[in-house]
Amino acid sequence: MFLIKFIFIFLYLISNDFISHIKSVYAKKVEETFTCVNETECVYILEETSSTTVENIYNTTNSIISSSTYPTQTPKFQLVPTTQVPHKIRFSNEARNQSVYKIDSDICECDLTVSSCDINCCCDKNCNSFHLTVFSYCESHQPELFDKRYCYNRNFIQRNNTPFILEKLANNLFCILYDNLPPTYDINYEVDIKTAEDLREVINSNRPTWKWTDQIYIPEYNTSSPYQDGDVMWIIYNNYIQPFEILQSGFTALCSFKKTLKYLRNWKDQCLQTELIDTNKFLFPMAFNNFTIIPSPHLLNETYILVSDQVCPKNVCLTLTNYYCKNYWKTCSNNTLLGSCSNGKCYNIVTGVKYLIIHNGSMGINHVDVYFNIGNVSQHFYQQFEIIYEWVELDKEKSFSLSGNPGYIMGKPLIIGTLKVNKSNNIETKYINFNRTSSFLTLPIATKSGECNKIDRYTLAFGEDIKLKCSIFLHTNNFGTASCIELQNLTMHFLMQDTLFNVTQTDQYNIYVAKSGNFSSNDSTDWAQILLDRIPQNVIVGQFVNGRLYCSGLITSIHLNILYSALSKPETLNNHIIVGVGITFSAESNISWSKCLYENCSDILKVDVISYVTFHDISKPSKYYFAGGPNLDITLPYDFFYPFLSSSTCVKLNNFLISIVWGMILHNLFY
Amino acid sequence: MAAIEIFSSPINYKYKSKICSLNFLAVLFFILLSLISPLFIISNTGGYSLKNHVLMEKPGVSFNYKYLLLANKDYNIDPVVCSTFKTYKDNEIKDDCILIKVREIDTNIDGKKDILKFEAHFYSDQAIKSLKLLLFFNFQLKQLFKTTVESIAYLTHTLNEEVQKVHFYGDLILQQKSLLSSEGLYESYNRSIEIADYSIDELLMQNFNRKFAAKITNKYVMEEAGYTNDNVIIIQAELAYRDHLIYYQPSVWEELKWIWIQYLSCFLVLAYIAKHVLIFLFSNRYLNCYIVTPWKNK
Repeated sequence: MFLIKFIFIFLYLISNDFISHIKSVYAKKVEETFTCVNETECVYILEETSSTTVENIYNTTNSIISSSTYPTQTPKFQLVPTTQVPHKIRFSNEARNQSVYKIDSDICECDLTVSSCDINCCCDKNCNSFHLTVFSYCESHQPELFDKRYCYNRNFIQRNNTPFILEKLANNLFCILYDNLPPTYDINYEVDIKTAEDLREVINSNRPTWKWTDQIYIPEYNTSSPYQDGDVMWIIYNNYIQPFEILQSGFTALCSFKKTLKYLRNWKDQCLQTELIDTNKFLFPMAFNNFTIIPSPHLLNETYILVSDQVCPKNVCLTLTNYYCKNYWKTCSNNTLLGSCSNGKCYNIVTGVKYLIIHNGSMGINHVDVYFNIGNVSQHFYQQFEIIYEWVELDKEKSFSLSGNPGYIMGKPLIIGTLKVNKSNNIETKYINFNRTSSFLTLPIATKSGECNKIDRYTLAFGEDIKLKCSIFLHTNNFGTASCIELQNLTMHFLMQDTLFNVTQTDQYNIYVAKSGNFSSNDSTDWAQILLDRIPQNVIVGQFVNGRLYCSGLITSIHLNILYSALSKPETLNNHIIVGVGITFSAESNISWSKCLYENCSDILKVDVISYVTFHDISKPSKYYFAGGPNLDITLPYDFFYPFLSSSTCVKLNNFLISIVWGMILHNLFY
Repeated sequence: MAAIEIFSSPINYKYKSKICSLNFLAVLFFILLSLISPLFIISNTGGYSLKNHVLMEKPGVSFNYKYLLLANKDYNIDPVVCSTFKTYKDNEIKDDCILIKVREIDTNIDGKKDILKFEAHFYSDQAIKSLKLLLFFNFQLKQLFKTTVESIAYLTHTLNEEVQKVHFYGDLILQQKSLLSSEGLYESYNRSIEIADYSIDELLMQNFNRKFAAKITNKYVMEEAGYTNDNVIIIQAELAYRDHLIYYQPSVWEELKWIWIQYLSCFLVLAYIAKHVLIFLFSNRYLNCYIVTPWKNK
């Protein structure tokens, strides 16, 4: 006799339609899906799942290719100098990665460079389909914030954790379970292991166990595809194809690790060089420029075959353009100076390397400049490394980096501009002039000796409360009020950078801060004026009293207050706008120094210049505001309470009362 | 048509007796028994009063913009001192840091700060050997009682190699020394601590002896070995503000809230039993007295 049990696993109710799309009920599949009532938002989720499946397929095929035998030795490519025909690099419009596609959105948070395509920023309007071919992924487009009232993360659909196997026959409302099934449905626990494959199947793969660690991944030279974002860059060194490697710090600061350069990944680091001897090849430029760079991997494969001891021709392999600089990249020339080391001291060695790589996306590298910072070193030193990538079509006149899009991102510099007034035909037009060379708000920072740095200044980062301290030294032979005034002017020069020149009233101060990181207009409403609490007055008096030199009325520090708030739109939680900026000058103080002891010696007047910065968040924590429910207007028929209330006037009055009571009850029930 | 029972009500008998009688004493005994025995039962099972209570509160922590960083080199060389304080032992503090960065981050956007990032940059001719960092915080408690406590978080670390960069990570908690009474703190700790008034030992001892003291737990230190005097030394500290458990003695009213329920639940059961025992004794004439029936009076 057949015994059939009906078990109500669940009632579909809402998600009946949704389930019908899924052919069989797999527990895992159900877990991954979201359910939502609002249909427009469901579309997004379905797209997501479909794209991930495509990606999975791609990944599996890729893993098969890469799991082929590892090369035991880097292949030796000897190259033939053929006729010097410039080789065209083919550009296929197909992106290697299917998940990279152009995204249209009003807000594009990753677009941080004006009129240049940001790598892996799929919503950047400056990126066309060619640029997209080099992308390896799309930078996290912020997930849309769903309304929690309509969309749920929790599963409404339960998974089968009963000991019975669930089988779906048709698009039924109920799930039917047989417990009198033929024995083929039973799980056989007696495992018969005969082959190695059986063994592998039976071993529980979820259990953590020892991993194979002895196999190191060796990047493989792949000739079939052009460079894409994140790919290993290749060079030809001694006629061998090798990955492009420079130094980096390992577990300690020591330059003991190698950094394999990845295509289009900007990088900056420093590491400690301790071996100051001639045999340390990384102290000399040869280690960083004595090779040629493969501009695109598939070029080398197609045109050249193995012939011994030939150099790669110039049209295929790029040689580097060398620049030798001194004083922290300031003065550069093409002439090299011979470096050497002896007795722990080195002369004209490389203290920093900067590669500037001009690329054209998936068409490969166009040009490589290498800048060496040359210096003399007598002890351990930190070697600086920097890799910068630039598009070949980059218009340096137009392009500059933003501090966030649309608002400011934490840690990005503050953009300043100067108010200009244009008078023409008796019409006064005010606009903000943005100067690219001094575009950021900066404050004085100390050098190693503690003195204020005359060249470099500290660029203020958004969201960081800081205190900066540096000292100013003024040498004077003839102390007086004039030297105190000079000291004050020097302090103001460091703090305010001569912006107070010709300013007599606080509202005349013409430095403005961009309210948002993505400033587009010159309109002064998009900029916040820096509000000064007062104009420092020159009421400084220098005196010589009791063997000490006195300056009274000196202003030595400023306090910058910056008010900001989060952008109101929920999708831009990381972005902030500046609401107001103010500078408060410190109170006038009296400072004294001791007079120097000898005849005709010069007095040294030292003042500590301190700048404080405080960011104030004035945005309120985000809250949901629910809209009120609809008004209920319920009226009963006049004879609704007929047998109980017969009098017509009574009915009218009571109807009114009852409808109020009903209304209240219904209102309480539903809200 | 058959009649069905649709409602019932009991008859109230009145039992009357003299005051000096066995009946009266029996009734008095049962009444007293039902009134007093709940007290015995409850006091034998842990007592009425809650001895203490725990409340979890996320205090409003804010960095005071006061700090003292001491980086010791050798004992015969002055240490690197960075501070917002002006004087110590009536001597001016020379601030050696060129840059101090402070950032308080609200990670979950609930209006309360969750993480403090503190960073100090300074140059030193010699490698530093040990670090002491005092960070001053204000803790604002609101739920049980409103108070603001200023306390010092103290980080100390001895370096066994020459370093250029040190990272600290830790949880900042408010350590409670003893049970609080619900009336609040008798001591007020909102007076601003100034380093000029005490030596560092005294300051730390005072902070230590308080009922509430900030403490850094779960401390991780990561140091980057390698040092040159041409480069700036960076000290980074990242502290996560954690929730605070307040242990307190509940007030009289909070105790009463629980006591009456305990008493009533025992009393109702005993009163019911006592009533039915008395009904049994009277109705079966174990106790003889004059019975007033409701229908006889009419």
